[in-house]
Amino acid sequence: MTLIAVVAAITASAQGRMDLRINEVMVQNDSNYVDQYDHRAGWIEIFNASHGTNGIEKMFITTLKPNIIQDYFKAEEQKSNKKRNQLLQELRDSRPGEIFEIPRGDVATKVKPRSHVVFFADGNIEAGTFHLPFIMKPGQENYIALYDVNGDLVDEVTVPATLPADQSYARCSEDSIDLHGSHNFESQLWQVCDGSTEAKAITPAKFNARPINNNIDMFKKDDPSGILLTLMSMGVVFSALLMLYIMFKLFGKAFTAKDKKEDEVVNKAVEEPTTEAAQEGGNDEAIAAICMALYQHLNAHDEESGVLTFDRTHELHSAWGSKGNLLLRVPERHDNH
Amino acid sequence: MVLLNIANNLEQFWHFTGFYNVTLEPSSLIMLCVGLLFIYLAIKHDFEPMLLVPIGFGILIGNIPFQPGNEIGIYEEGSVLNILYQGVRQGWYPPLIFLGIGAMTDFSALLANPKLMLVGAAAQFGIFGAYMVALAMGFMPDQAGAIAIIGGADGPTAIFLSSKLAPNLMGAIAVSAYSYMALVPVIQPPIMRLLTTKKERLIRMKPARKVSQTEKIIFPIVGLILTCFFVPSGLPLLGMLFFGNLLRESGVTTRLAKTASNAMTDMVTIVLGMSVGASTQASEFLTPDTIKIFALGFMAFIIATTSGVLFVKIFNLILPKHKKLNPLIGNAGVSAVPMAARISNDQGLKADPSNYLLMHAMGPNVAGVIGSAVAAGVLLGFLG
Repeated sequence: MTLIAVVAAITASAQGRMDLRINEVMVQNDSNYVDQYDHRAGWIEIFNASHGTNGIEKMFITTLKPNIIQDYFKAEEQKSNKKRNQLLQELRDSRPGEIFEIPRGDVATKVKPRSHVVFFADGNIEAGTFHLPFIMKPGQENYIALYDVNGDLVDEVTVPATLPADQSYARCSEDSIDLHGSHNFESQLWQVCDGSTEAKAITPAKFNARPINNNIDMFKKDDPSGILLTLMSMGVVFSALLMLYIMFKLFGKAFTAKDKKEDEVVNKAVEEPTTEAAQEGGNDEAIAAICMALYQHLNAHDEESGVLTFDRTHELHSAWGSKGNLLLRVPERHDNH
Repeated sequence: MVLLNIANNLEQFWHFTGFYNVTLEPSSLIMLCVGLLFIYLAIKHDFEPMLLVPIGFGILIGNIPFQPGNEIGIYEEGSVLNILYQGVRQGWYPPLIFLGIGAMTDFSALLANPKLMLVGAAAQFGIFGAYMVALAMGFMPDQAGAIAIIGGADGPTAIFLSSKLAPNLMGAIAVSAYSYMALVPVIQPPIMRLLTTKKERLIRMKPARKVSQTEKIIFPIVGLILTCFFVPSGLPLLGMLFFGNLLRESGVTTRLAKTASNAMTDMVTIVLGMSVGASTQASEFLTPDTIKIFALGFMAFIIATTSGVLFVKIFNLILPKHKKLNPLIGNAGVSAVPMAARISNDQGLKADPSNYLLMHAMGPNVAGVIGSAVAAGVLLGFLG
């Protein structure tokens, strides 16, 4: 049962889309990013940090602080066996302006690997899938959280009250996202972006920092001749094959020893009667006959599988594919008989 | 009026024809000649015909001049060729080929004498030697890594790695890798003779012990776990290689092993070869980089052969007299299976007509397959 529970938990977690992150938030949008109706509103950008497409349908975006949600979970879980996503749906129904369940059926909710999606916090869910039921409050701290389909917290951020209009609060770089941990809100990884420099650009639906291939840049800079990489790589190749060598050297020894032991048993079995026969009279022919009989017994006897089966005796093709099979054979005349 | 319409239509048709379009892209003619050369070499001189015929014909297909926009060309999204090319571009075909290689490879020679694995490892220096030279020639580290893998003498690995590290160079790398694999009988023997003495060439190796079926079954499982824990990035290639081998050795999946090693490998080889050939369009292929890639590929083969042979000579210094290896099997550390092993055998027979090295050379040869896949995984891990 424990095993089943562990497997179920792992499966649930795997389905939980934990690789999605809140990536950039603008609270007051006076002259920035516009929606499909050319309207401006605060926006929240979500980033799929994984290398696979993630569907965000049925996930929850909320401004409710975790203590409110956790208290609600605790209270309700004592009363019923409802799952957390059901409890979040109930909470959505009771506080519709604070929690939003991303609707199903919109293909745009499938977020491609390493891609972004932007939600407008305009309080108008009728405007489309990517419009939230709440409006963020300028001049106040804004807490935003993302919950997965199981009702587990995926990511959260608290946007500082000091964030000016038309500026965003964003992760310094998407590269800082730790995919192996759960949500990792650390304020030092976030910054206020005012668009004054490239590093502080406001980038809805785009990368906050130019994706870089650290490895290539590092090798280009630190190992221009390639010697370092060569030594490391040859080391890895040798280590891998050396491990295989050691492993199969040991296996080889073990199996050779086993074979020797078996051979000794066989030899002993062959030698014993031979010796007896020699003691009785030293008849070479008798010894040869005994050896042959033993050889036949131990080695040369054909082993039949004992399985009976139907097997076609000739012509692999079926009657459907060959007219020849449908024709009667013409009797052959043999003049000799 | 009617005549004018006919003239307009004929002019339009003329613009669709290859005769007109070749005037816009005359370098296509050079590529057509390259394709014909490949087909000629394959049919007339039996140079890797299974590969050079599909690649050669693919080059013809990819270089027939046409007017773009009708979903015909390999780089036009939605065309049949483009769909087939995705298997190359995304690196799907090479692991399937590796599945077939695993299903047709008997690792007994290696298991009987596991120290030969180290020869397979040593020959991979061809890859990294070429990497250093490629860097010196001005290639970026990822491009240099993709080019250097030619030294592994393994076409599918070269395609797999270049599709990940330098897709724009993939056509040239693949053609170069397969060309040099076909030329292994020309490139390797002089180096082998140069680096060995007559006495060394006469060394007789101890006959291989019998390998039990249990060992053969354990090998792919342990091999996968050990190598992929070292280099998880090599998983697509190594995983399929060892899986194919388990199908073969388990004894209970003979039908699957047969399909993997025959029908499936043949089908993938056809599509892979043809798509790689077709991807070598003149505009992409006839560049100074291609010449450099061919030069580097040649160098990589020489370094790989040299390092394999020299490693055996050095290894012999620490081996007891009755366990010495014939340095002629060192060249087989490159993974051109079984061509490189056959060359070891031929050279051995030239020195001593009764000294058959084929089975001994098969050890480093199949170790080279594993080694080059590990090396590709290492490069992908560092530079990917």
